[in-house]
Amino acid sequence: MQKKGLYKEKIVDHYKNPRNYKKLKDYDYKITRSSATCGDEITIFIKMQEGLVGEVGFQASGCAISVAGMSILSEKIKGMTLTDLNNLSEDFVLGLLGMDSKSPRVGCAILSLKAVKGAINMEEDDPCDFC
Amino acid sequence: MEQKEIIDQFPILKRQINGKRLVYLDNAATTQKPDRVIRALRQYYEEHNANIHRGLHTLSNEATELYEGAHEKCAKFINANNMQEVIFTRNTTESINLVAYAWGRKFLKKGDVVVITGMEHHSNIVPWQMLVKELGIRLEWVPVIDEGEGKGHLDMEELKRIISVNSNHIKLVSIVHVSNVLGTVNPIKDIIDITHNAGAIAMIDAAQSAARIKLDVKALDVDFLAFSSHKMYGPTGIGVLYGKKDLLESMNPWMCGGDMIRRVSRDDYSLNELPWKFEAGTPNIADGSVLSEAIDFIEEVGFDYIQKHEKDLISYAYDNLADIDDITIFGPGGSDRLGVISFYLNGVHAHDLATLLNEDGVAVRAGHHCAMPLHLQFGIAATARISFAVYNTRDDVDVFIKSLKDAKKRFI
Ligand SMILES: Cc1ncc(COP(=O)(O)O)c(C=O)c1O
Repeated sequence: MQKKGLYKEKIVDHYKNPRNYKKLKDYDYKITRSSATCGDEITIFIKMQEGLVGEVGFQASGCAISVAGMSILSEKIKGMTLTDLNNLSEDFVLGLLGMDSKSPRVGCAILSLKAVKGAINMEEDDPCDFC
Repeated sequence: MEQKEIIDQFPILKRQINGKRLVYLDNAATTQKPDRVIRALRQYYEEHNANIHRGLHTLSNEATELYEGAHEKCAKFINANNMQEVIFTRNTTESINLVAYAWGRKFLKKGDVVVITGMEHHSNIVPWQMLVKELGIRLEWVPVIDEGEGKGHLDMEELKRIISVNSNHIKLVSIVHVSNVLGTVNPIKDIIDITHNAGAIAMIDAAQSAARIKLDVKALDVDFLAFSSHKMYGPTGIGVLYGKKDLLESMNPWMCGGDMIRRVSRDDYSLNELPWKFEAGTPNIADGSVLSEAIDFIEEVGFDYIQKHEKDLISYAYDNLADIDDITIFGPGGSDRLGVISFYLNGVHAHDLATLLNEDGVAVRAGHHCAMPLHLQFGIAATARISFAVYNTRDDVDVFIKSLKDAKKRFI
């Protein structure tokens, strides 16, 4: 596989085999977030254990960047506190994906972060009309 | 004219993108500009720049002549009577909004019906939805046929039914000439005639047709017609609204200030004549003037050549795309459309596809193309779209198809 451009092997791998791709029956936080321009939609479930992120599950329909972004982030946030999660930056997520902040695909990349923060701050669902 | 002579007129086509030759297939969004347009813009600012209609000096006269001359040229281009019927706006969107504000708010009332279609661009949907909320008018939608015979075309029987059921209330039928998603060419002459028989007026969104089909407002007997300079090889920042003179005269201005009045006292004002009544303030003189060059370009190449050339590209691209497994193409068949092909490659999101194609220098559009209602009908959020202009070639199509196949290999 070529390694040029945005779609590094890691991204294609996480897109084709997303980690933590499951619904959680038992969760503390859940939200559905979408980006209307792309039609990407993510539903995330977070279960806390003793103040730390214990389990994460998600389901998504969308582009490779948003799905891989959520998959990679879902692995990283295990063991974090709510404060840690609130402090996560866009640059952190872009770094995980090896993306430049000037990429036109930043919106896709940070949908995962918006979902995580939206969930723990009990924001409202914002599902995609198309999905 | 030889194809190479046309290509050579577009400096941007020499650009490299990611080390590859630019293959620009996003012409429905905006076309590239020929050298003569770019040079004319520079020349305007270097030699003629001044405000119009308000100076007695040479530059002001020259600028006025250029700007008015572009209105006259545009009037001839669409066979309007004269420039009184040709208003310059910013774009198609503003042209349609002008009608919604200045005609709609004056002549529509609660219970009146405006008819649009399922393949409209947001610019021909939202202005009417505003009037639904504001005035209580009703919006009726002519459906687009999903499958089988007539796929991608308007359901004309349904159009006739809507018009006859609402006959006393229909005031306006506003439809797109060539769909920016499906490439469908709508039978606008028939629709305009049906509309007039019902006692209503007709507006045509010609954004995608102005650079592809000879528009003749007299032969069409259309009441309003809107298009954008930037989609017809001209500068951004200029749109056109054609309106029949009596209609335009019956309307109030929608923006007020300089240039749209004849005289102002403390107590009153009198309106300027058409088209200036609808062009308040200092207009976009430079870009408006240079629209003349874009029209000259189109007329020199000729609609016969443009259509023959683009139809060849569309059928060629359509056949090549249709050969690829897992591709869904929206809209009518390859020989039955103009301008655009929107498609979906199963397993590769349209945004990923557009990014991958860009890595090979191929510019396509991905998204809902400002036609969300139509995409709701498709049941998908984003399609990829290629669209052609007169400078594209079969070689461009080959590069695109190869890149598409490579993208597919990487993802599926
Ligand atoms: C069919 C159609 N109508 C209207 C528009 C709006 O044109 P503009 O953005 O120039 O106002 C477009 C362009 O995107 C279009 O394709």
